[in-house]
Amino acid sequence: MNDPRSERDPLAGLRVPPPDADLRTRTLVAARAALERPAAPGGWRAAFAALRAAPALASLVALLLLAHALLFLVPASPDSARAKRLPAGSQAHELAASAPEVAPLPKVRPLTISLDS
Amino acid sequence: MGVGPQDQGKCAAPRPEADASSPPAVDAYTERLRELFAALARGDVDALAPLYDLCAAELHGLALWRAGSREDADDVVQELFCRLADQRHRLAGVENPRAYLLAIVHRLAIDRHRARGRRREEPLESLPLVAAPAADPGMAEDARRASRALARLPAPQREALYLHSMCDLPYATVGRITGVPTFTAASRCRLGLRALRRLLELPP
Repeated sequence: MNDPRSERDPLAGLRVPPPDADLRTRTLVAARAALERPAAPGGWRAAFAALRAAPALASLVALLLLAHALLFLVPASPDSARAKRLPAGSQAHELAASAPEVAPLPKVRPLTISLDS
Repeated sequence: MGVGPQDQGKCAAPRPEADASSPPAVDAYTERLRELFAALARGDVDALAPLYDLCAAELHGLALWRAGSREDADDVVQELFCRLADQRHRLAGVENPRAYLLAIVHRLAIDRHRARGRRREEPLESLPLVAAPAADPGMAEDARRASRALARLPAPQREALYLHSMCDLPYATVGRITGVPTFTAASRCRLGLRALRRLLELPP
């Protein structure tokens, strides 16, 4: 890989113009103001900081999380689950409610073959 | 202090002739940057001014070459320092502060350029991307010609050329800063340099 610097450099002897002097003042004033603010935490730390600052909000979030967990923990019967998924009063709901129950399959005695007889 | 990118590159000072045999003087600069980062991470307001004096010229140069607007470059540098102050808790663990700063400037300059919707108040050709050294004002015409030629390069090539040629950074670091593979960074440098020589009507 040839190094461009090994060729004759068209930028030799030139320099990058420095920024204006007033940019230094403006930048330092803005950065100082940012530095004097409390450090902004990010991600989870910001979320926990917000919850610590508002206890009512923290209680509400905890309640919602608990309710959400209970929805998954409480077992629901398959029939009620089917009916629940259909909007009440709709034609589909009525059809589902009037559908005959499927008779359970008869118990089949397992086939055993005896070699003794 | 005597430690800064200007000791190695062309940022804010005439660059000495590139010499591959000279040891990279990055270590002292990096060490100083680390010290200032650590001070900033502790919330030390007094670290801001030395940090600005140490690296603002190099960072402003990159923003200028990438964004193609002095106003955007000013905004990028200001935003960078505000971010450093705002997210100071991250600074203590930065391994390579120079590349870290240049990478942030790279991203901010691209964002700024996109936010403007590629509108350009001033033609890029009139923007002084390079200047004659104070000790040799006779090079002013060369600087103007070089600035006009640089303005005609694609921004990624111009940026790679800046990082490699003006900041004396190796291709691998140029690639890390600009988010491209080392080979792409080297290719951009070579293509940019070739185009620059053609535009300046220099022998290949």
